[in-house]
Amino acid sequence: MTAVLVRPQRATPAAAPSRAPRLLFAAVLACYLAVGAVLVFGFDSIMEDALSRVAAASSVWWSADPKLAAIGYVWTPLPALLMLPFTPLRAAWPELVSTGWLAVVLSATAMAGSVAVLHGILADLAVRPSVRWTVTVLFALQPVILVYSANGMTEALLMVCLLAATRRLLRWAGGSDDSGADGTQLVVAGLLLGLGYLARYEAIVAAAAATGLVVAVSALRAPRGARRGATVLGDGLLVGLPAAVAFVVWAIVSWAVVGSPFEQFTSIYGNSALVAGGRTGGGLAAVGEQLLWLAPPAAPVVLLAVFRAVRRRDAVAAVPLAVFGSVLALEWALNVAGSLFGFLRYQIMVVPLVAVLLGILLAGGGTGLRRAGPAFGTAVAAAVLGTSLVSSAALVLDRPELASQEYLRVRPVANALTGTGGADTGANGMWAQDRALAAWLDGLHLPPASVLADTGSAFAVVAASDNPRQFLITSDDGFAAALADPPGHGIRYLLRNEHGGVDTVRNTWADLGTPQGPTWARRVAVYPGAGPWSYGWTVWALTPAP
Amino acid sequence: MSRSRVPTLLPVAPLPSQVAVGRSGRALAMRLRLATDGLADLDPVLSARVRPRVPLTRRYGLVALIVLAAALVLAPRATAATLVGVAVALYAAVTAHRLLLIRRAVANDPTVEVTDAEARAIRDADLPIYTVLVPAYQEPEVLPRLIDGLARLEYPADRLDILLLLEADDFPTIAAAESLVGVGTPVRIVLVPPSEPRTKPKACNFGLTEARGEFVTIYDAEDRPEPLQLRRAVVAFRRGGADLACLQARLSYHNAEQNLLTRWFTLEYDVWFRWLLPGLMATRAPIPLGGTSNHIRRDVLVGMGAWDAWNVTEDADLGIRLARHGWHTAMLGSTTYEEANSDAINWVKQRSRWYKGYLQSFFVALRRPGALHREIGATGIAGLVLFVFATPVLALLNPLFWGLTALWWLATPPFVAALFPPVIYYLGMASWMVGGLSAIYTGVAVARIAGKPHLAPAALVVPFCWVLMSLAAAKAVLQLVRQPTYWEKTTHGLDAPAGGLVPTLTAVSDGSH
Repeated sequence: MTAVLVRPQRATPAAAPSRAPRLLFAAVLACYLAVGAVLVFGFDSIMEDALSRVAAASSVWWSADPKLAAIGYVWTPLPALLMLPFTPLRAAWPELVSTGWLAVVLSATAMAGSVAVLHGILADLAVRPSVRWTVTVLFALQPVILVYSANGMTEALLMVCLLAATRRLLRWAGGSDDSGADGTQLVVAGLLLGLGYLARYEAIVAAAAATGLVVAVSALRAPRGARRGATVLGDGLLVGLPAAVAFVVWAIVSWAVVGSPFEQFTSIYGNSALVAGGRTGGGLAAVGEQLLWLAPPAAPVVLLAVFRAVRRRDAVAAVPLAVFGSVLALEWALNVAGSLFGFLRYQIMVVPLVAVLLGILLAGGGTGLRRAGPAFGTAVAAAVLGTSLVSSAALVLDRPELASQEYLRVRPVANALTGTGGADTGANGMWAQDRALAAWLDGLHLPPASVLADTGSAFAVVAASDNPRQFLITSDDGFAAALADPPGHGIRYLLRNEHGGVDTVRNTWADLGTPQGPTWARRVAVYPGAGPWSYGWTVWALTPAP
Repeated sequence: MSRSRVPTLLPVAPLPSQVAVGRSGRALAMRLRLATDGLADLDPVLSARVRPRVPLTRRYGLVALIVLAAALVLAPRATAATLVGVAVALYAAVTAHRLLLIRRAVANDPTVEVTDAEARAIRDADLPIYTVLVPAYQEPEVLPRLIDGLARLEYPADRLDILLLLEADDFPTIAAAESLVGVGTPVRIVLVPPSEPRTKPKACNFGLTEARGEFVTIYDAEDRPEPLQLRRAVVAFRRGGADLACLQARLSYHNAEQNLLTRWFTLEYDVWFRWLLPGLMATRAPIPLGGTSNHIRRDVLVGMGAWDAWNVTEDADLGIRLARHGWHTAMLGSTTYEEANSDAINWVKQRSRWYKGYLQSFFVALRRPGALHREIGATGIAGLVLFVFATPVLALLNPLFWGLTALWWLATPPFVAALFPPVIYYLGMASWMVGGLSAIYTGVAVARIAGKPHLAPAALVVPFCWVLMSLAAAKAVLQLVRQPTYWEKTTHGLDAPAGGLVPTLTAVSDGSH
């Protein structure tokens, strides 16, 4: 019943040299690091989420209360854990952390990995070399892919996990025997989906969808008999258990350390609180527009793939639809429910989806367009991905209402590089005053835990400081007590965020400086922020009690 | 591994043929002496026989204990934290090692596979004589099934040398055997004179003195060997190198679905024989052999001093000795079905014997550390520590750490915090989570991949099995000190229906070997 995906060993005419994937990875990584270096060191362009994660990873070692729990429980642990071994290098090279470069290295590595895995998927599908390389290169150069390789965000990490899981699931779905030997593919796919959950929360729906798909395919394939139910259950457990366990264990660890299992929803720093305070996206119409600009041929490609899957009755095309489509569907659902900002990056998974589906449609060995020659396939690939490339470049450079975060960072760079446009630097260089504030505090040579600051918004200051231990930050043990009563806990300075960012100091001490407010502190400095998107700070010195 | 050295044998004097078949008088006494003390007389250092004078190691052990006691009194926190740190490091290393072995076995399974066609392709005339040793003690009820299973072996009867080894004073079993074994069958009964220690390896050694085959294997009385196994072994030996001395077949259980315990043990055996032992094989570390279905070249077996009658897991000990002398052991793609213990008490007894034997074998191997290092190298010693030593020791330590964890979660007493400085704490937590979760997941995976998916739910609750293992480990350590060579006999036949015993073989339902 299930069509046979011709195994690579039989279909590929000449075995591809095993060095090609490694060279590809190295070349792409070098390219992404170069772009990232230009952005970070040339234009001081780093997203707040990325810088925040680097600061958290650094706080594990360099804070008044160093401990692993400093990585925080609102967001997933994997990015911070991966950066953890490298943050001590800030002693030798402070810019690693202060500019957020470490996060860029991580995202570039993950995105280069995505490109390499995509190439592997195409090779497994026995896509002809010319088509394979066209798809791979055009994927690597897609503007969103390029941007998210170089801005330190975690979408790249999730993408590489999902692509690697897709690769394994494709192998499993394409096999026709039920000896259970392909259970190893399910095991690896399951582990990758679990890892993906630790990278970004959305992976849980990908894991659920993959499990559902595996159960369905396994049920259709399993021979009728006494063991059928157990076989199907076994397959489902193999692919679904790691993600389920990751979900439960992370919730338990979070509950054990900070007292709440789902900080994303309950914490003031979590998504729910942020969305409640902000302006959410323009509904499905805006999402539709984003998708149209991001990948115009997406709809026809998806429809073709679905048509092919139904006609051939095979599950191969269903794999990427399940894995990536589920993540997209989640974003759309949350958007409609008003629980999500309308950021473009929530639609990023449409790009790998289209690339993989394209590979399936153009696959050799009897599963694709058999009559088509290599030129046809290359032309189709170039047309599909080329159009996406052009349109998403236009999206990122010209449509701030649809791609706000990207526009603010990429447009100024493009302007500067082409010599056009004004002096508006958008959101680049937004941390300049946070760094100046850090330098000023460093100059005071303060003892440990004497500056109260909430890293929910002060992460850039902490990341840029040469004396990070002077701060008493949110993850430190004495933070809550010191926040309630700064004079009684040895605090010498308070940092209060005036705009941008979530700040418990502002929430608690909004009345500082007002006639009715407390008198134990006076304002000694104001850092309004370098640009329109920067965070603004006021610094308060605690006057010693008479 | 490039340590391919020329394998060596011990200087064993050949046994004169009249003595070999002697059944009375001096010849019999010589055979019995050889069976009991052959290895120990040859080289006492290689045997677990308790030696009359206080060995050097005991003196060192005493000194170490005194130093430890002093350290605990003078610097309790640092000493305790160090001990905890060593234990945690061992846990972490064992977890990582296990996962590496599994990964290696899955990626590139070194198990020797011989197809049915290849096994049957050898002509009868080209097959060597094969000795099958079947020791039995106080189990007359399993004999009918055993004889039936042996009759199904696809091997020419004139080249089979099956020795049913019975203790001479075990009258019920002898009577049952005599009624089943007729003249003209390849099975002959060998009566082992009763003597201490009354162990399986002593009986096997005794049988070995009159064995005629080029290859020797052991089956337990309740085993159901795969009919083509002997032929497969012959093909594999002929294919293998000159240093291939031993082939270990896979063991599994035919009563897997009987209850939760049998499900757990079936999964454990599958992981052991499909993944852990093949993975270990690829590292060229010493392989602790399974209790049965190990096929050994008789010349090498005799040249190794045969089995150590004083060791309760003589199979593991032999595996280590073979590796120390440069002989290679491979896994054979064939399965023998045994009976899983369905009774918890009985199981704890059996498992405690295994643990005791592992510790015995480990300490015997460690008697000459320098020689051991020369023979198997650092990786071999690491494999020995992480596989043979750690299995009972970690089972013993588990309750201690479970207790500390529970105490910490409930009451957070400061002394627990002192025992776990940050690095040790995080490493311990990580190993605990990774180790426990991966054990569960491995069980589920092996259930599906070995074609027994209905056992997967049992894998999900396997942590409860670890409690039983800890009991067994505690019993093992106690017995190691008080009765090292006592052989805790496992009761078999617990899977038989209460009524009559119909000697049938259950179908090999998973289709694999």
